[in-house]
Amino acid sequence: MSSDQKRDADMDRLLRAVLKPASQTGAGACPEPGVLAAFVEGSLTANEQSALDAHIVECGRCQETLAILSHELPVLEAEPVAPAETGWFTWVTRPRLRWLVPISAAATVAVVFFATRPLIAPEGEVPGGEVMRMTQAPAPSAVVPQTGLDELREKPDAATEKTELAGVPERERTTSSPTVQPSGATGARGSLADAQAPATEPARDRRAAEPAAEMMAARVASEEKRAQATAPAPAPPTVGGQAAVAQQAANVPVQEDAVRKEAAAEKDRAARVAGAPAKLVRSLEAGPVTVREPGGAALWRVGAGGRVSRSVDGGVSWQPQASGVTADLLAGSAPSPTVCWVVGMSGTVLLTTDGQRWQRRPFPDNVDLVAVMATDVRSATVVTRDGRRFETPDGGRTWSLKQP
Amino acid sequence: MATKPDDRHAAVDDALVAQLARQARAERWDLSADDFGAALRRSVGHRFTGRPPTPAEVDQYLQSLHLEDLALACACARGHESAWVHFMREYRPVLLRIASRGQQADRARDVADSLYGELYGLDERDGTRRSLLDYFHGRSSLAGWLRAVVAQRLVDRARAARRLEPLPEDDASMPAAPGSPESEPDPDRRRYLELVRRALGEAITGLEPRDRLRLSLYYAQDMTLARIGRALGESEATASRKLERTRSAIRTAVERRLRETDRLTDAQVELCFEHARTDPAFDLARALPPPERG
Repeated sequence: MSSDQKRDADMDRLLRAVLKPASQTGAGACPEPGVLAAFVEGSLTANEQSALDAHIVECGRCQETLAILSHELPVLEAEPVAPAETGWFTWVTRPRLRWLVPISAAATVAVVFFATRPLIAPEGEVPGGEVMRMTQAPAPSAVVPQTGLDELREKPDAATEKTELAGVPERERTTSSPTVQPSGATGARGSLADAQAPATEPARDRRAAEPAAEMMAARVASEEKRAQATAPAPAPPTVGGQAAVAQQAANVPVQEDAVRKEAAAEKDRAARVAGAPAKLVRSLEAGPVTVREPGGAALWRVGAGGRVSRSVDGGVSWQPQASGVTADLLAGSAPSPTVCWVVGMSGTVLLTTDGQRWQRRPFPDNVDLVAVMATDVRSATVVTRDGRRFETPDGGRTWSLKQP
Repeated sequence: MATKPDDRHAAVDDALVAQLARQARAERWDLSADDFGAALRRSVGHRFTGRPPTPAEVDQYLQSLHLEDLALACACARGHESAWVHFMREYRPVLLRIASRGQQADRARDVADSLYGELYGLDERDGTRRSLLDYFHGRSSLAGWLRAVVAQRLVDRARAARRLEPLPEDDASMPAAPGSPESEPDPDRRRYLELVRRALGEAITGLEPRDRLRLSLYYAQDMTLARIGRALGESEATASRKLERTRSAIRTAVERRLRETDRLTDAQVELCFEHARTDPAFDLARALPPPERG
């Protein structure tokens, strides 16, 4: 043992000798049970809490009371747990999700860039290179004519600066000497519209995600192709429709596995980013959301795929429960040990009134629900991803839009 | 911390009472606006003892209350049958569980049951029913309040029992007091021990109350880091980190004082710790200032 460790051990022993259980009560009278309960529930003001700290530190009675109460209090996770009533922005700014923020920002800029290029492009011009970039990563065995890319490389490009601003990774910028051409493809406009509109149904989510994913994936593939200066260029397509895009997608060759992997990763990332923010969070975030009943007697954990589990021992052990849904669950609110409301994707609202069995409650809109605040088994307010608030006074049978 | 109810200034207008009663769903228990309003005003009076709160403070305070729990407690205190049935169904397990923390399992039920009479309001004073639930003001959850009530009673019962334990009859087995001639092989020992006591006492009393409380719960109450975290609203990791930081700060402060104020050399500082380590009766309680009596 080093002298430093020995000194630490000495200090530990000395503190144990000094800090014996206080036999007397502290300064002033002990707090009433309501104040002590508010203290452990964290609902006192800062001044009240500080005053109570000063009392308890001198008061053996209160310390012993606290010691008993501590058995019944819920365990707090090491990382701050997002309250059930938070929006998705708070979620993605949680420490373990902060890495998503720059990716989301970059991808959003990229989507906007691609979608707005038709406004810049000469009317009716559909360069073949852009169509190539609109396609998905191709099958390895495909063989494609290589004419046309050289011509593209020679073209001056007004969108060069935009490309860089759009958040293209440094690796791509350094390998892509030619610049991209604006596209007149209607798919870009469509993808923007889909990506920006609130996702009212899963199918729309997919439509929004796929074009953006294809764009991101195709960018990587086409940039790599253009780096091969000696390769013959494929013939440009004659039209810019989706059929032509699909045809080209099947014909683009892939030279390296790394490129394919990168393209797939980009596609995956873009698909997530182009989808709903809440969906993005749920699909990428590993940890579930913990919902705490105010008294701490019961905890619920909800998460992706409709998973729900409950703990009645402060989080020491968890019992899975059947939620009856497969939608990602995003938030919850438990006003009592037996009542809990949970909301999630696509208008999912679940309610348990006995702490065990879950019932799906109807919701008038298929929008994602990102937060819920319940006061009891009947009254709850939910927040949609686009910021609207709906409330129910009758256990979720009827909902009314709450005016801001 | 006991406060004398003072609802002279608890201006809560009827419209606000009606709104809060709706939020609390007081109609479930047929609770009149007058009764619920009286509970709200009592709560405000308790919170702002001795000074009139501003309307904004009152509003903020009322909105922070556990209103549904307050309405239930109010209805139970007034003997509403279905409210009491609901209370028993929801909160009896809470009472039993917390009672079992301080008692053997078979006595937990006795402890919990002994409260029911008080909660129900069997006592009458001046012809008025008096329920323990009248003292619930909604600042915490009802479950949390019940736990605190039971926990305080368990502690009081245990402390009363400890007071009845006989004191040791023979002091011969006690170690010699530090500083007594027979325990003083080193002439500087007594001085060094005194310096350590003083330095340690100063370092501890200079801590923030929350840091000192964490230290007390760990060393005096032998609570685990997980339980300390729960009691103070921290994660176990946070409690551990802060405890370690406090311990390190105390050590630094003690060593600095011994070196800079008491002008001891490193060897003498080492000797100080050596003496403190080997002293069987090292007790710094007297170095700490006694708590002020209010």
